[in-house]
Order: sequence, then structure tokens, then C-alpha cells
Amino acid sequence: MKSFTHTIADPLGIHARPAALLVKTASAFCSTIILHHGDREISAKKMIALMSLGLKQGNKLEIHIEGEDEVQAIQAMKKILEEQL
Amino acid sequence: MRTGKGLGIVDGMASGKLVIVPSRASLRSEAEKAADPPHELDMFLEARNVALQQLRLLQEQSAAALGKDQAAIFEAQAMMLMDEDFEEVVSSLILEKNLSARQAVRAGGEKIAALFLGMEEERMRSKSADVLDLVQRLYLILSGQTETPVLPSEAFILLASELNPGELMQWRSPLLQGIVLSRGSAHSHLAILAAAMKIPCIIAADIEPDQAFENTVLALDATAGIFYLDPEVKFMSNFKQKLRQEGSNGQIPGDLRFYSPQGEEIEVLANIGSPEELDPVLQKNCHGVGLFRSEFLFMGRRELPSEEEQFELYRRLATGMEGKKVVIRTLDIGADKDAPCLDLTKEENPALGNRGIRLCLQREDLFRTQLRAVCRAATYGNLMLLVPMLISVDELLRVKGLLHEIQQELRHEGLEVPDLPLGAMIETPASVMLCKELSAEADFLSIGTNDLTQYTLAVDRQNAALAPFYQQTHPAVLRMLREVIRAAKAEQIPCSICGELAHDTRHTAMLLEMGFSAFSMAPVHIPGFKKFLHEHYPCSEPSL
Repeated sequence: MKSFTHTIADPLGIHARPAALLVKTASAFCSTIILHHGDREISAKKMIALMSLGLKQGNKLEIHIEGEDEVQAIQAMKKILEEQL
Repeated sequence: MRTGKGLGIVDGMASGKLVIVPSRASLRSEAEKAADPPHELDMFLEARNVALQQLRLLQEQSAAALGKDQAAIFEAQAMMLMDEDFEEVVSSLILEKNLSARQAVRAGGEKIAALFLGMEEERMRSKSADVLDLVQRLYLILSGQTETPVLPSEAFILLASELNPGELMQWRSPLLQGIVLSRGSAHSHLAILAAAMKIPCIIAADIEPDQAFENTVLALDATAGIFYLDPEVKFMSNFKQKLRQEGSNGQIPGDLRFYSPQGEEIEVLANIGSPEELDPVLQKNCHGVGLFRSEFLFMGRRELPSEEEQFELYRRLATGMEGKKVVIRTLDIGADKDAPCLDLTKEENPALGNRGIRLCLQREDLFRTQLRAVCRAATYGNLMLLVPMLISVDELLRVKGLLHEIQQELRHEGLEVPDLPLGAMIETPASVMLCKELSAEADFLSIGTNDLTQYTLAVDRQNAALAPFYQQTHPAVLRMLREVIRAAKAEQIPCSICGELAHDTRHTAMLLEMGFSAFSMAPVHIPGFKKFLHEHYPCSEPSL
């Protein structure tokens, strides 16, 4: 399993466009990708669950990735989070 | 004729015949039992496919016509639609509770919408509208009501209680002139779409979408937030004339000069946030840049911009304006902006936080770099420096001291350093109370009416619920403006207005009468503002 953390930098927090990109990116991999925020954990492949986290600027996310393509997945997830959120 | 009011969210004027959009089909909520649950589940999945096709189409259409950001609204809806959790909720309602497909969609969707509604942030709560849009879409498909509206063959204005983005896309036509909503929200996806489509729009209008109004003529002035229902012929011909002037055909020559009743030349300046906004048309159309927001240089990046990078940019501005003035506001940033390179501490209340000049005086290294870059670029044109968020004379004096030091430093390095006028931005009540002292020390003043209004009235201007309290012409604010212009005149220094009030032509006569003669506004407002001046004030051809 691989993991990393990310702090939301977008002043708007998570909103439609980046959320859609994040889910799209995560869904492209067969690894399970779990986002931990506070005491909640959700799949990065689920739009509604992701939105329901209500992430704001400054919130910390822990991302756990496990599966065959975890190496590629972690790169892609890091990139999308850095660039969009 | 009946006159009514609303809150303008997309400026502009329009006229046309009303088309009434019936209120959202009130979704029947009585429990419909499913005789054959597996069949209902298939129906749901089929309807979901149809909805997905519809959303894909909307996404393509909006991407082509409006752009990627607008298309993202429909993309996000499509992803919610295909979400596993949504499917799970709906299918369990069908299979376990024996609900019909459309009732399961309604109940499941409302459950998810309620989840968003319960969240603390206003913006997240608006996500519930997206979910309800989806529910409506699926419900209509499952009820066999999927016909698209018949578009009128003459200019029309939509009247509805609320409209969702998908519905607006269905009504998209070159003949769609305006939108009037009796409810609506300024922070909705609809507002974003209408703005992108440049369709004048008011919300919270005092008119209900009554079928009786169908085909009635309506004249809409969304900028003023007024509509005229069934106007007389004479009124209409007047209104249409104004409408034509507002359109691009009535372009005012860029180099025409206008004068106030006191005979002072009226300066029209531009507020810009990046050098890309500078174009030859703008250069010709205004007296200069009244406000250049230097923040964008620092936003969304992890490394600070170097002196060279900043110098290059300020030089481009100075040369681009060909000797016309360019007022550079020093870094005005706080914890509400996304600037990782500044590594700002998160604050609960950034509007009252460590921002503007406070931050710059604390982070002198950062400030010095910016000042050095501006001083060096000043030889290429007519640059001026404006200091934001002042609350004391001491702050201005410290900037002055620092500036002198840097100018000395540059001279020692053998560079030619012209004088750089230093201005005080008046946007806190404290700076108004100290405007005499500030005028004595500053070379010019600039009033930021947006922040001044927010700080004076203690009204958060980003909170839509407080919009009625956010009054730029509140008597307290107007008295402040009077004080400030008086202090500036006493010291014989220029004083301009930047902020939304600057382009609001409903108040131009009053501001001119107070003694203001320089107005700085977003480039998009300049043509309309000059048209207004052209209609009301004397002008002269340029002296070539």
C-alpha cells in the first residue's frame, strides 16, 4: 500500500470542476483509492461521497492507495491534487 | 405598465415577449408500490442512461458555446448521476422498500440533497440543487415527459420562479434576450451560465410566473434591477433607443474627452489584474490604469516571483500604456488567497487579518523585492505606487522611508531612478478618519469603495444573504467620500474612486458634484460608462 497527504490549497475548497477531475482520475485505476479526512474515509471514485466531505482550504487529506497499479495511481493522484486542489 | 424590481445578477438591458417556464413539476410524493421490483430497477437503469446521454449532450453544447468551465457543471452532474452510492440508495429503495423507480429516485435524491443541505458552508449547500436537478431529470424521463420546449420565433424573455442550468441550455437561442426569476440565487450554477451567455438576468423579482403573462412585452434593465411589464409604445421606443446605444454599434471614439459641470476633465481609468488585459483598444480608451492588482503574480505558485520577473512585468505595463499613468497597488493579499509561495497562516477571518500593507511591512524582504522592481521599471513610463489597507499614517511613512532607501540603493548601483508618486488607498474607516494627515503625506489618494463599504457597514460582501445591507451609497459611506475628497482638494492632490461605485452611472452625477473626477473600473464597464458621459456631459475632440 502507498499513501501520502495533501492539504487543500484552493481557496474555494473542493468544487465541481476539480472534484470531477479527481473522481475521473481515480476511476481510471483498478487500485482502491481511499481518502481519509478527520474520522471519515471515502472512495476517491465516488463523486457524492467526495463532495459530502465538504473540503475547505487548509483541510488535510490522507490518501491510501492499494492495488496492482498503485505506483501509477499515486503519481496521477498527486499530480491532480497538486494542480487542481 | 407595471414596474417591478429585482436583484440584477447579469448586467444589461433587454426587451422581448415573456415566455413563462412552468414551475418545476411538483414531484408527487405518495408512495407508489412497485408490482415488479426487478423491472423497476431496469427502468431506473435505463432512465439513468437516457439522463447520461442528455447531460453529455449538454456538456458538449456548453463546452462549444461557452467554454470548459461552464461545461464542468454538467460533467459534475453526470458523475453524480453515475455515482455508485446513488445507485445503491435507489436500488435498495426499489428492491427492499418496493418503491417505484421514480419514487425511489425522488426519495433517494432528496436524501442525498439533504446531506448537502446540512453542511455548514453555503457553497456546499448549493450542491443540493445539483442533486435535485438530477432527480427532476430522472423523474421526468421515468414519467415519459421528455419533450423539449418549442423555441419562440421572436425575441423573448424567460420568466420562471427558478431555472436550472439544464433548462436554461434548452432555451438557448439567439432570440433569448433576458431572464427574470421570482426566486433564484446569485451563487447558483444558473448565474454562472447566464453570465457566460451574457444574458441580462434578475433574481428575486417581484413577479410570479403566471401563465397570464405569456406573450406580454417586458423591458428589462438588469443593471438597475428594474423591469417594466407591458410598457406603453412611447416608453418602449425610448427604451429601445437606449438599448441600441448600449449595444456595440454606439461605440464612442476612444480619444474623446469629457468634462464635469465644474469644467474638470473626467478621467476614466482601468482596473486590471494582469498584463494580458492590456490591449491596444484599452490603451486608447482610457486615461491609464487606475489600479493594477499585483497579487496575481503571487497566486497559485510555490516560489516567490523574482525581482527580474516582476521588473519585466511592470516594464511591460509601463511601455504598454505609452506614457499614460499606471498605478501599481503593492501586494494586497491575505489568507483568503491561494498563494502557497507566501506560506500564510490560515486565519478564521482573513478580511480582518494579516493582509495588505500589514503583511508587506512584516515581510520586508518580499516588499523590498517588489519596490525595487517597480522603481527600476519606472523609467519606462509613468508608474505610481498605491499602498492598500492603511490604518495609520505611520504605515505610509514606513513605506515612504523604505522607498527612499531603495531609490538611494539603486542610484548607488548606477541606475537612473525617477520619482515615483506614492498614493494612499482609502478603504478602512481608520484611513478616512485620518485622511487629512494621509493627504499631507501622500502624492494621491484612491478610494476602494468595495472594502470601505464592507468595513464601514460591517457587512461581509461575499455573503449573499447580506446583499440588501451592502449599500455602496449608504449615507455613512457617502459622508466618508465627501470627507476624503475635501481633504485631497485641500492638499491639492488627486483622488480617484475604484470599486464598483466608480462605474455605477446612477451615482456619477452625485460623485462629480462632490468633486470626484477620476473613476477606475473593470475594462468591461468602460464603453458603457463613456456612453453615459457622452449623453450627459460636454466633450471635446482630442487636441492632436
